[in-house]
Amino acid sequence: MKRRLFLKSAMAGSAVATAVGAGLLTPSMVFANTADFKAVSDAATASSAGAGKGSFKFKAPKIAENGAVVPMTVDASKMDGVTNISFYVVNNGTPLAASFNLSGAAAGYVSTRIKMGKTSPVDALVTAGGATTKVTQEVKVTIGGCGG
Amino acid sequence: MGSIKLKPKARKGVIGIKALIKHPMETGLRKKKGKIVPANHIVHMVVSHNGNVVVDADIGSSISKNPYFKFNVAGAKGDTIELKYKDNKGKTGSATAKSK
Amino acid sequence: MKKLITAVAGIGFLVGVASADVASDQKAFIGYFKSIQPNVEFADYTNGVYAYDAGSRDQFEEILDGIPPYEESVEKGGAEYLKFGLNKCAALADPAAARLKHPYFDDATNKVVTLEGVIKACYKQQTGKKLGSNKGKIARISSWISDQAAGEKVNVKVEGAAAQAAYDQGKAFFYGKRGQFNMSCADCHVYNAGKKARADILSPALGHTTHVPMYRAKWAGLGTLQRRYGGCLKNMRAKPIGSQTETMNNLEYFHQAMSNGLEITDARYRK
Repeated sequence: MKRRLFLKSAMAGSAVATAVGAGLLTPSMVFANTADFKAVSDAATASSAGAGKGSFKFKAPKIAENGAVVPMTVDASKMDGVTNISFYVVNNGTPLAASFNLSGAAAGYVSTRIKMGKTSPVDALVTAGGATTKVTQEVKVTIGGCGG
Repeated sequence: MGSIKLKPKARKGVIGIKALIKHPMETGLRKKKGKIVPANHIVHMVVSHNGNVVVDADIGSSISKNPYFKFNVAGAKGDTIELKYKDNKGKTGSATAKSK
Repeated sequence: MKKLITAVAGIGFLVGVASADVASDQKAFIGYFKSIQPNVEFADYTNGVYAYDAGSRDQFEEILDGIPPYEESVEKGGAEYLKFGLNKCAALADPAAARLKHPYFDDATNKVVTLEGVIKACYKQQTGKKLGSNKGKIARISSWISDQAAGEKVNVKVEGAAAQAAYDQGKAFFYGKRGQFNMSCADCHVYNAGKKARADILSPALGHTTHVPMYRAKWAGLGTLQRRYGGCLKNMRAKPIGSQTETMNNLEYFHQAMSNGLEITDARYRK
């Protein structure tokens, strides 16, 4: 497993590729997320670019108390047929934080806590009836703080 | 990797499902004492209600350590909620709880 | 600053003023905070800085409304309380009472006794091993014990000359300048409470001890009050002072007494 190269990205040809080729780094160490997830993230990038303005509620702090634990909630319960809610942190290494596919009795509602490396706009993406809309909020992340 | 706190609570026909999973959610980009801490995070999670999948999630490494999630599902007290996850190392975890 | 000190001196609130009793000091303390934040009710100070700032309070409530990140650690503290036989020590047999009683001045040993001090002593007695003062087990156990008194009011007693002397020492420390930054606890947490130091909103000293031990997002874990003292001293680039020493215990004695009348809370989350 270690020696198999899954490289499909621009990493090939760099020092990292050499290290991977030598079996020193496994793909799971090189990529912050799996190649599969990266594909989902890329799809979300495209989705976000084409998304119209959403009318659902997106709650995220304006100034995060701590970048490691930023609470975020999407409440699209008033919308019919919500099939996906995704959180997309524009300035994070892999922008897609998570993608929640909702079905059956699930309401269009997700709340979670996300790591943010730095100040960034965050897109909440909701897909319903085949169409994706988004609400964006900028979340400031500061380097704190008092107390050792 | 670790324990799961699963707290479903029904109110007015909706079960609010709160879940806290103990998991380091290492991105694989962090260094400790000069060495990269290998990626170790949940990649996939499924939540079921009375046996039916209601949430099927692709989870990335940007979700906070010891991930917390809340979902709302139409249902009543006594319904069964199950949560299963898998991480990038192939480890799995699961928990079941009856809604209060 | 000069204007503020004059106003504050007017209510007899500076170090160097003749030794005052807890009740008058606290009255002055409460009066001062009311003057700088007229819209914040006394009882709200239980949640400290979150009483001052809506944006951070929102996050605080979100975290608590979800499953607080310290919940499991505190439960573990409860299991450890029993596992290490701490319920067998007279001082800890009734955990709620233990939280309410400490810190107190013990005339027999002529020292301030803190809750963590008693937990450490009991742990040593029951297991023969030493327990740390700042984080890990001690923080978990102390948090669980403190949880049992949630809803009760802080009620630190300062009775008798020796107790008063320890209290006065703690007070002098609180108002005394220290470190390369030459600042006192009061500089941030009294005179500039509610203002920002870089990106942090300075928390008011009133209500500082209602939620200790606390979970700090910065630590991603629980820590005792004195763990926090150590951190502050480091921030002021002051000479480190060990936890559970006389100086720190006297400071805690004064510090906790300033929160008399406020509800002890199990909402331990802080930035």
